[in-house]
Parts: sequence; structure tokens; C-alpha cells
Amino acid sequence: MFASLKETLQALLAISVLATVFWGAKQHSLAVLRASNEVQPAAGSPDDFRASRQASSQVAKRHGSPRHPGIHSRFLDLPICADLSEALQQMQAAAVRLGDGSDLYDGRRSTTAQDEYQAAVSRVRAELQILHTLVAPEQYEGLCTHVIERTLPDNLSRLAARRLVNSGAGMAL
Amino acid sequence: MRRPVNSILAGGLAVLLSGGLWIAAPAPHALAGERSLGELLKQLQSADTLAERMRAAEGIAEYGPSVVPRLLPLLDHPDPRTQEYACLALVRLGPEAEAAVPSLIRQASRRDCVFRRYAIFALHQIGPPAAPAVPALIGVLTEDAPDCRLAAAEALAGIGQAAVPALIETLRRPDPRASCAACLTLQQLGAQAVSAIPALLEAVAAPDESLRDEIFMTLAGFGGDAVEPLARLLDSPEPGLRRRAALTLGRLQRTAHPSEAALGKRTQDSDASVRFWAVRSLAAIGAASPATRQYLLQAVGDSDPNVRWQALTSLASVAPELARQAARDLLDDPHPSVRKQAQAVAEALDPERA
Repeated sequence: MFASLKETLQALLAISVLATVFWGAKQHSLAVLRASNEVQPAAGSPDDFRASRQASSQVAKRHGSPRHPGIHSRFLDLPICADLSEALQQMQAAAVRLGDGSDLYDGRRSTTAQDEYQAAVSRVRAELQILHTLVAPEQYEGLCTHVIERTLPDNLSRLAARRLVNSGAGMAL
Repeated sequence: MRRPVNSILAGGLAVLLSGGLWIAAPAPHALAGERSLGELLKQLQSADTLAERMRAAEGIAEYGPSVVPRLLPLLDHPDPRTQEYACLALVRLGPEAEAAVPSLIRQASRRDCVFRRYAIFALHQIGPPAAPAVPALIGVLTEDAPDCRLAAAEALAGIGQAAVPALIETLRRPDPRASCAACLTLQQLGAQAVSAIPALLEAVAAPDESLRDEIFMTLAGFGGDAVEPLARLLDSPEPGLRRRAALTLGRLQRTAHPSEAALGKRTQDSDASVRFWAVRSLAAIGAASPATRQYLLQAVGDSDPNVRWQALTSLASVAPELARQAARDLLDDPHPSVRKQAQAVAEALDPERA
């Protein structure tokens, strides 16, 4: 009698396990289906839709990983980064002197400051060209930004340096 | 006898239970709010909010390929939003929307089509069966519409190998913008597109710098098939090409090991940037032959500080026993960055003496 009861209990247990498994699988597939439905209606506009699909697009992946990998910290130790940093400092100092020397009563001093500034800009351009050849193309801009931000203290001088980078100074090879 | 009976009972109940659960579960399209296809199509055309229209598009797509003939006339509907959301329903159908390919090609070719990007994206989602769209998509690559160009490049990649011959033709056209877009597609196709290597090597002669970068990026995705052509480019008369070839071989890492001798020779190139990349890539490809060690040792004494810095770094990974002495020699280098690197290498390889 006890053995029979035990077997019946075992059978019921088996039923409940099976039912749970089937129910779980069903709920999972429904949840997946619902989730796939809910993603877009929640977005509600084709542009949101586009944004969500762009995130998963292969081109986005390409731009996300192999094309724009993080700047290898060792690149910042390259001699060219130190040289570029020095050239940027010279350019900033020359810019300050140019501001000081813009006195209408001291034209000669102003001309000298202008010449110094032009020479400093030329050196920055030259260093950018060298840097462009020594780092992978996708790392060039990011590395320039790193060096500029590490070297120049204020936004105005950083902007002047960014202009040189964006003008393609490093690309003219 | 009771055991089999119990088992049968258990099995029977399980089937009944699971069947019951299955029957109790709603049909996929019922998830769209228990609306019929007719209602959903009406909602797509006249709903007040864009979210409702989007929900309708989602619900319609759940009906599968049979719904395509009902959606196609909506692509020419007078209301641009209806056109757009009908196209999004086709996007959602993905490969099941194959019957829509001719209509989508027509829309993707129209510059004035308001949902052109979505039509292109629908072709992308359909994948290889959208192969008849290749000429139209190649046409988009040559247009001045960056968004559509990028979408077309992706759609061509989705179509796969059938797009490769047309992409090769595009590379041979004197249009750097279209060639760049073709490269984007080839990069996604990877090894499937190795037949494009000769055309890529021809296109690399173009003076466009961005195109050159894209071409080398594409070659890097071809793995071992690109090693021999890249090694040949190391002998190009143009320093820019030699440098990019050396860089790309380094990207291929150990796959590019057969190029060791050719890279070694370039450590003595007349251009410093080529020497730099040759020295860097030798370490990246895992080269460690006696000849390579010798080349790296010589490069430690290079006239360019960047090359000396890189040679010491590469030597530290290829031949630490040689790098120890080289680091000591560079501790009084004229360039502060090289001295710093020499100090770092000396400390890493011989912490006690440093």
C-alpha cells in the first residue's frame, strides 16, 4: 500500500516537473515574442526605429570596435607625442606674446611676435604630419585630442590646436 | 504493472497539460491587440499617433509573407506616413518579404522617395534573395546622399557574395566616394570577398588618402589571402603605400608571419615611418628569427627617435635577452621619451639591477 502510494507520488512529481518545463518553455517563447513586439511600439517613430537598428548594424559595430579602438596608452609615450606637446606649448606661448605685442605703438615688436607665432604653427603642422604617419589612421584624431588636452590648459588654445588638426595638417602627406 | 500505468498516466497528463497551455496561449498576431489584419491595415493608414501606426506595422508583420501583397499598394499611398510604415512592416518581415523585392528596388531607386532609407533597409533585411537589387544599390553608392549610401553598403553586404562582382566594378570606377562605400561593404563580407583583392590593389594607386585607408582596412579583413599582396606592396616606390602595407601586415598578426623577411628588409627603408611600422609589425606578427633580431638590434640605433623607441619595445617582446643590453645603451638617449622607455624596459626585464 505504502509502495503504491510512493509510486503515485513519484508519478505526480514527474507530471508537475514536466508541466513546469513545458510551461516555462512556453512562457519564455511568449516573453521573447512580446519583447520583440514591445521594443518598437515603445519607440513609436521611424527615427527611433532607425536609431535602434543602427545600433545593431554591422557598420556601427565596425565603427564601434576595430575602426575606433581605444588609444593604446603606449602611443602616448611615443617620442612624437612629446615633440607635438612641446610644439603646442611653443605655439601657445607665441600666441600670448602676439596678444601682448599687438600694441599699435610698437609695430616692430608685433611683427616679431607674428613671425614667431607663424613659425610655431608651422612646427605644430610638421609634428602633426609625423604623428599621422606613426599611428594607425583611426587613432590619429583621438591621439591628437589626448595630446592637446594634456598639454594646453585653456579651451581657447585647445580650439586653435583642434583647428590645425581639423584642417588636415596631418593628412597632407 | 502499476509502474507502467503510472508512467502512462504521467505522460498523458503532461501532454494534456502542455497542450492545454499551448491552446491557452495567444496566437502571435493576437499580441498586437486582438486586431484583425484588416483592422491593423486601417490603423496603419489612419491612426492618430505614430506609436499606434508603428504598433500596427508590427502586428501586420506577424501575419507573415501572406501579408506582402496587401502592403505593396500602400507603398504608393498618397499619405507619406502610410508609405513609411508599410515599408517598416516589410522591414519587420525580413526574409519573408522576398515578394516585395521588385517594389522595394523601384522605391530604393527613386531619389524623391520619402522612405528610401527604409526601402534599402528592407532589402538588407531580406538578404541574399534581394540579389536583383544589386544594380540599384550600387547606383545609390555613387550618389551624394551619405545616409542612403551607408544603408546601401550594408544592404549589399546583407545580400552577400552575389554583390561582389558589382562591387569590384565599382572599385574600378574613378569615383573615390563610391569606392569607399564599396570598401565598407567588402569589409563586412570579409573572406567571402577575396576575389576583390586584384581590384583593390589597382584602386590603391588612386591618390585619395581616405580611399587608401579604406582599401588597406579591407585587405586586413581578408586574413591570410591578403598577406602575399601586402608583402608585394612593401616594395612599392611610394612610401605611403609601403607604410600602410607594413601597418596592415601588423594588423593581421600571426597570420602575416610569412611576410617576416619582407618586413625585416623594410626596417632599413629610406622613410622613417616605414621603418617604424616595419619594426612594430615584426613584433605583432610574432617574428623571432635570428635575422629579425638583428634587424631590430640595428633599429635600436636608428636616427629617428620614434623608430628607436619602437625597436626597443619590439625587441623587448621578441628577444628580451637582447633588449636588456639595448635598454642600457638607450638610457642616455638624446630624446627624453626614448630614455623613459629604456628605463621602463630595463626595469621590466631586470628589476633588481634597475
